[in-house]
Amino acid sequence: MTSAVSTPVRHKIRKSFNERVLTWLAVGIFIFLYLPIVILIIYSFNDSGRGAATVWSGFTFDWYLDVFQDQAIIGSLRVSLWVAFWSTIISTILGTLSAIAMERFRFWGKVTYDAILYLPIIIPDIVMALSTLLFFVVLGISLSRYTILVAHIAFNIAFVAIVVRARLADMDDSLEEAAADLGANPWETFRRVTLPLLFPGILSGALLAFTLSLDDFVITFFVAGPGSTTLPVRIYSMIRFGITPAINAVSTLLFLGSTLLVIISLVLQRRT
Amino acid sequence: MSASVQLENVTKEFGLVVAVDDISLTIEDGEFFSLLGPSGCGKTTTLRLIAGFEQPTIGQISIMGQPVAGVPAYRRPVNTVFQSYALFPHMTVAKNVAFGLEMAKVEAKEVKRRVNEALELVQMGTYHERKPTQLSGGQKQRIALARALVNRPRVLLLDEPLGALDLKLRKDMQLELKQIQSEVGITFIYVTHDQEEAITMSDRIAVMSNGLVQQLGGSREIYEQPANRFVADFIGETNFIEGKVVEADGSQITLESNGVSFTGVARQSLSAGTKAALAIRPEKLTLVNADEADRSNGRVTMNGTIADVIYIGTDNRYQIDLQTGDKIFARVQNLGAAETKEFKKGEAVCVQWHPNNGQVLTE
Repeated sequence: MTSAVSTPVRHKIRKSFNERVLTWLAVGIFIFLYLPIVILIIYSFNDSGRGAATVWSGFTFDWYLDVFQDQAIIGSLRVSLWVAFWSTIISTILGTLSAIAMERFRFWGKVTYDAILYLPIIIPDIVMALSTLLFFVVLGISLSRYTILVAHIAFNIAFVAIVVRARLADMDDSLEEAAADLGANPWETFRRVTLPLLFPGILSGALLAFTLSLDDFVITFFVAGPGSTTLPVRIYSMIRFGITPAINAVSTLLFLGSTLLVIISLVLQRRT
Repeated sequence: MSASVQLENVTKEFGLVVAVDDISLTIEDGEFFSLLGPSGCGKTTTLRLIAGFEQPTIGQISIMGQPVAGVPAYRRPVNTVFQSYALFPHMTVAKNVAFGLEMAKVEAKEVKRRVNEALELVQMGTYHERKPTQLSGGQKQRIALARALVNRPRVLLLDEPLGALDLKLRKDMQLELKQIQSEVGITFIYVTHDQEEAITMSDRIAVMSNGLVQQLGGSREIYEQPANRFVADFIGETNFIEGKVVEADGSQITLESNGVSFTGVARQSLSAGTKAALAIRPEKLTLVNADEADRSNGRVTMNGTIADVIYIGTDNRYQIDLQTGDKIFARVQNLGAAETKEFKKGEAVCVQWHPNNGQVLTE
């Protein structure tokens, strides 16, 4: 009788011990990941003047006012958002269509296409950047915000396709057959069954694409033309003149923007 | 009765694999027809050919007299209940059931009325606003059935619809499906690998293996007169006693093995010298003490030794080593200790059966 009573108790103790270890591990990882960002945010309020940005000298909102009055920063934010917006729209459409084609159809050269589609994820950024630049030069296309756009679409398609395809692969094939069985033609099946079920995947693919586009430095740096500086490229060029809390302030805004996007995507996904 | 679905010399190949091999079937209007066989026998492919999810490599399929070659799934007057149920997870139960009617552009009021009616039919009248994820397996099964039946198809195709349910629920649903079928009076084509299920529910069964129909017939015919060894072995339990034909008198065949001769019936004529086996069901055998056997009652009698006894409640299951060298099973109904003699392991027994119960089968 004693063992029958004591076994569940011991089991409970062990479980709570495991839980505690895992909880602290998770807390440690979160600190490791987010402490630098917290420091960045704190120092964006550092009233250090033009002096040493790394020494705390009081609290101020001035850097944020500076940022919003800095035409160069606002200009490059505009370029960044423009590139991110259009590259997201176009790469989401093309990436989703590629994913559906890869998952649902058999066609000539599929294996090759499959490999090539995911290549931008594996190739180092610097190689992508150089080859894209070379491509534009060879074709005699002058660099502008449109060349940035094309370059971003190129790498974003791969990421969207991967996310959407994972969702498609999880989807029961018989759902589409069931729709056809119930009289839905291929277009109705796509509109009423495939697309709604894929939507969370498409949305997270799109948000990933938007974030990647907003973040990208290396490729953009190579293919950006005069007057088409994106925010990360602007931050980089500002750092060359010394780190100021203004850079921290811009980075903080960039961070808050991305976080907001992620929260929106989570809320939307939960609702569907 | 008229033909509801007709398959004429239908073959379906996937690359080098022949999934369905030159099948011809005529399924009558209002019939409960089962396609029965082990996995990979071609039964599901046959169903998918009728549904229009696959096109035959060769041959013709007609539904209600109309050839359906090239007619896509969404224009065929059939509906399917899928093994995985395939309920749309982003729609409520009511939306799922209404889907087919909305595709057919049925008026909204009429849609509502028929959805209610269909959900009542499967006893799910209070589940309109649930999502499929909030339903149990049995409930999903009912909704899948309602979603198909609401369209009033001429033919309902069911692909192992009870496969994912536990035994008790499956038994209940078998009866209910059968009842619904007689209520709505449409043709059911039912794919299953469960022979007991097929026998309980079907008007006729096509037993399939390797893409071929091995036997087509009613439940009783398929169980009592299997056409070949595959059918005898797949449907229920069967003993095989191997031998050679020594004499054929019409359908009465005498076999010989190890100096013992025994008779059975055959569906086709067999010539002397042919290798054949006698198939006999375990419940058709009676066991008597070796020294008490009446050998003049017209029954086939063989000597054997009890090799093992398994008590399974309703029956005793005996494994017996026959004098022919074959191992067979006998099921003896448990009528209680007062009426049923229990044999012990190692005991010598006589096994007897009526010659009409032994089916002589070739390979």
